[in-house]
Amino acid sequence: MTALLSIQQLSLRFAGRQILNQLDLNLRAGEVVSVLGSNGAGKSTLLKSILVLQDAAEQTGSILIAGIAIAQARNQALSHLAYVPEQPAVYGHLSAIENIRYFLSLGAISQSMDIATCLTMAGLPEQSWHRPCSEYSKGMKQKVMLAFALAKQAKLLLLDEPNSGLDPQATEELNQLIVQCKERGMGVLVVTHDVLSAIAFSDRLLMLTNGQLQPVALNESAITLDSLKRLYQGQV
Amino acid sequence: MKHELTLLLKQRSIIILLLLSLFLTGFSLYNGWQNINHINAQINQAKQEEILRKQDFLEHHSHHGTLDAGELGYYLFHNVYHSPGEWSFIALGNRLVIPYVQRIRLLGLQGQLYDGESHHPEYVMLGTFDYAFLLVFFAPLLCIALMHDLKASEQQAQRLLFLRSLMAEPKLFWGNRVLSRWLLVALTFVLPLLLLAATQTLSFSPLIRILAITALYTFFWSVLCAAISLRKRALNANFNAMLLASIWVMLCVVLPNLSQLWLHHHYPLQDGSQIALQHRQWVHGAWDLPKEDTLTPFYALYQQWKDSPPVTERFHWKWYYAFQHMADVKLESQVSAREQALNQRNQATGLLARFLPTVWVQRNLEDIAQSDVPDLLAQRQRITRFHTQLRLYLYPYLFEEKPFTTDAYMRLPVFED
Repeated sequence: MTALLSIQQLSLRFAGRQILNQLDLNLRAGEVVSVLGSNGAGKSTLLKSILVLQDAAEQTGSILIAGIAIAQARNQALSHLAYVPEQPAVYGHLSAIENIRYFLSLGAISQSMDIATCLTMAGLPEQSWHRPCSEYSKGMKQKVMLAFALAKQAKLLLLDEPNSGLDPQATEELNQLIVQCKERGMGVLVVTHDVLSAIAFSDRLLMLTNGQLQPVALNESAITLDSLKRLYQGQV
Repeated sequence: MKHELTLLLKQRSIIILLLLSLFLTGFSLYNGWQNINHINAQINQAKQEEILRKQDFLEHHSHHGTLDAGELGYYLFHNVYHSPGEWSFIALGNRLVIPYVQRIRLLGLQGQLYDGESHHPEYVMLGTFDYAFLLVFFAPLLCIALMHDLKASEQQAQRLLFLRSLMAEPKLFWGNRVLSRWLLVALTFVLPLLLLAATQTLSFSPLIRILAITALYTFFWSVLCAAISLRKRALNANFNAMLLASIWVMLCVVLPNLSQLWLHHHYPLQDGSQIALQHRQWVHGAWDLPKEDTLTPFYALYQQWKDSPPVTERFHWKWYYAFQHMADVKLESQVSAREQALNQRNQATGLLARFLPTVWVQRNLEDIAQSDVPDLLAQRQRITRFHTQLRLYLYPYLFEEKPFTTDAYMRLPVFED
């Protein structure tokens, strides 16, 4: 099966420091991959590289999204992708529907799903659809962002710290949404510090250390603070 | 563009700002319109009064169907008007600091032209709140308020990266952002103007020019704001706002005033009151001169009356009007130098307008409103022509000492504005 996201030999230097070093990653449709890593390990840089927001001169290697090289056809490649940043990027003075409509207008999106259907799938209560997003909780805003990804009919979903700042119930709801996306055949790449959630929804866990991704095997029941510390220090 | 407009018009602060701009534009047009209405009313009233005054003069000064031409020249005032044009309300310019109704007699013209308040101190100090003023000074501030943080606001809301990931064409995205804001700014100026033009059925061609000036000027400021707020590291909204405010101060206040100072220094202009004073001194001096010292050079100019009977009395009107006119003749070079300096200043301002958009707007709007320097000079020419017409009409009665009949009185020249 062709990988939805294929990264080969990706290297990136920034301010004289090697951030990514011949990094390889393949992510298939219907697969959730979580990338863990300490602060400054290069997780956000990896996302920026996939989003083609890095200075190309400092970057080598190749990135393909749905078989399309981003270096050659950025817009075509990114049309298959939806990115959900750590801070939900909604406009507070617009409603959920208006936000999604606006975001859809920005990209060259030929076909999109019905917004109401997507909001229902994302679990946003119908009575809040037309209210300004400034009245939403962070969890609700995240749902709007996921509804946008659904509306865009993205094949690949990039999530940057999706559970940051969410209470346990909202975290649980979001985790379920990620699983639903996976079941719909989407490929999901999650960058997170929330190890427990990552274990809950991921097919694979990868640790970004020294600019490379290393697979890690974790068992939810065996996790302790010490084991996490060792994991982040690269001793696992 | 449609989505950008929705994004903008859903913000309460933007709506308030745009409504304020609409209100101010409406008020500036109303204020200009009221001023012009006032001027027109004053002119109409003065025209009615002049008719009554002339009837009254005839009743009191006619004896057996004749009048004394000398007395008439001295006591009868003739109105000259500086009537506003159809579009004068958009830029009142010089219109409020020069008289729109003036009373002229057969005396020396230069003594009368500058006799009075040459500047209304209140208007000179405050300026006038008209469309030109609002467009020049307020439109840039509106552009700055709406466009100083194009990129910075998105960065501050941590949305920039997400938006960049969505943009198919970043230039198109930011272009739409700028254009939608420019469109709204321009509309707040244009809509009240269109409404007024439609309700008052004003002529089309000046309207198109004003719309084009408004669109170009607001577009210039939009591009300037975009250049500052979309540059690579434009992520500090406060810095952008301060930079743009500094540019506003330079372009709207400092540079035009410095240029004005330079123009005044480079093309010095004799004050009108100095000319009026000098005229008075010449006239006063003439009373003590032998009459021939006045009449000989006068007859050299007007040879058709050189055979006029000599003045033997202590006073004769023809001698009086001759020295009044000779004072004008003596001042001709100064008057001409003054007009030349005004023309030079005007030409230099034209050059300046190529580099200073604020001056370009003001100049073009004053041109449409007929309240610029060429219009001021043209008004002087019209008054001079009327005064000459009046002199040449009355001189034969004075120098040929013909009786001035009531028929001749009825045919007295009238100022055509």
